[in-house]
Amino acid sequence: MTVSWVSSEVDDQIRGHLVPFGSCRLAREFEQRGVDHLVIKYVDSRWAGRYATPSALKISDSPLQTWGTATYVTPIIYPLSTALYGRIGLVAPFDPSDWTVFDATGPVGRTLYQRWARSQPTFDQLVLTVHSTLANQELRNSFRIEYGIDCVLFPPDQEAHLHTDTTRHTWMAVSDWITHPALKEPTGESESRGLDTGFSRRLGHARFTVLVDEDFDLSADSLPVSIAPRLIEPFTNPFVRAGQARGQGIMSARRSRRLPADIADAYHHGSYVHLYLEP
Amino acid sequence: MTSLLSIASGFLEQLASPRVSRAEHDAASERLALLLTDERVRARFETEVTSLSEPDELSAESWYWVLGYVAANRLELNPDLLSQLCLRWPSTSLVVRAINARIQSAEGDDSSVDSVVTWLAAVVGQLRVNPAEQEDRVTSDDAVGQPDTFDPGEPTSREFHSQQAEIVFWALLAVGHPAALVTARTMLLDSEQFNASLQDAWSERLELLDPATREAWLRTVGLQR
Repeated sequence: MTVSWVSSEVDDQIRGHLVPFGSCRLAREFEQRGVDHLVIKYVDSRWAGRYATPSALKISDSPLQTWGTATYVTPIIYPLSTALYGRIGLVAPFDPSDWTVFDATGPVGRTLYQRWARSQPTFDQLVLTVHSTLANQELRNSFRIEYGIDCVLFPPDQEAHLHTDTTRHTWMAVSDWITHPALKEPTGESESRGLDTGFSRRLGHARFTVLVDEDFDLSADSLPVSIAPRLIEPFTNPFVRAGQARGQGIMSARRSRRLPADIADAYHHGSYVHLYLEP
Repeated sequence: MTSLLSIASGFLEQLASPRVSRAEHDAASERLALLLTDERVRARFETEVTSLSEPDELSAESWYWVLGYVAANRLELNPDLLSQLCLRWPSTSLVVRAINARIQSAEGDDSSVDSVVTWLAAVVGQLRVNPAEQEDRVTSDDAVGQPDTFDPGEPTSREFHSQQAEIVFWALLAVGHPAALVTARTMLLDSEQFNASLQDAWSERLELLDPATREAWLRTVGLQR
């Protein structure tokens, strides 16, 4: 649909900022690192079983997402960047050969989006009402639909302490499209495109590939956290440095008759026992 | 509410509520999506969704998600129900989804454009404040090929809510479909029939725009100066 609320100048600038994936900064980083086109998404442990065999990632349709309805992933070149979202890392291949990318990692992309958003009829809803969450989602979706954006690159807006480098890392919001016949009159267009909300076809073969031995708190005082502190490592490190940490594979621990005594000994020496899943 | 939708409503509450965390949203979304991967369950769910008839059957959060699902899957909701949803919600985003659901359920059907225009006219007709001064001002068919006569619907001043007229107006603009734009233009040209402050709100918004953007707005709405 060719309805535009922005000036032709801003429209041209936005279109000029869209690039094929092969021309974007991220493509060069993949090339320099010499790694395949893979992404990673960390999820709650409850999903480990579903992704034991390759399955499609769920498209996030929560109004709380940074760039609207999309599948949120991280390039594999930043493998731990989103570890705050879960202990289970799902890895999926992607084929970006026909992707149009909007790079919002720098000031140009961010400014262009804001200029576009300010020109929209619902901008007042965003800044002057209690309905800003929904207004934000609608605006972000509309922007991506209007310009046919397959992938938005954006900087981390939450940070896992020591795992996320907000100055260097890039996160991705990937669009899955649904196409329908359009009203033939009056638009004159033969089809209309919207954002899908089910399971991603573009990221359809995600598999449980990484298990992280750390947890993070995602909220602080009921608000989304900016920098998520590590919940375990800061307290295990002193014992590790002092050579007091004790580790034991969980399978052998289950059979061990000495485990109660080992735990009691750790307690009495102010240490701890790490029961881990054997690789 | 029917049984499957009743079960799903627990997920739906979480899907669109700004009161739960992003992780909870995603978990609820994935659970519901998995439920709907079963074709029989999905068919039953969609049957139940399309048989909804009362706004009170779901919360606003649930409607927000359901309307997105309806539009994405080209399901058809009762137009009277969609009309009621447009007239009661104080959120432009929700009204946008209700209008889009009506438009998109009609897509692919050549004969349905007029029905969308007529439906929109009936919706905004219910927001008219002064039936005695009704005037059929908009007859332009350049944008949408709407019927020659513009039926404003039965005015119901008792139900009139001036703020709602403004919300529907901005929602029509945000939808951006020519049928919605011509209806918005109708409201603007007939603004004294809807909400005396509608023209002021429009003018103030235009004044805040830079000249080039203002021109784009006027061109889009069909009001070039």
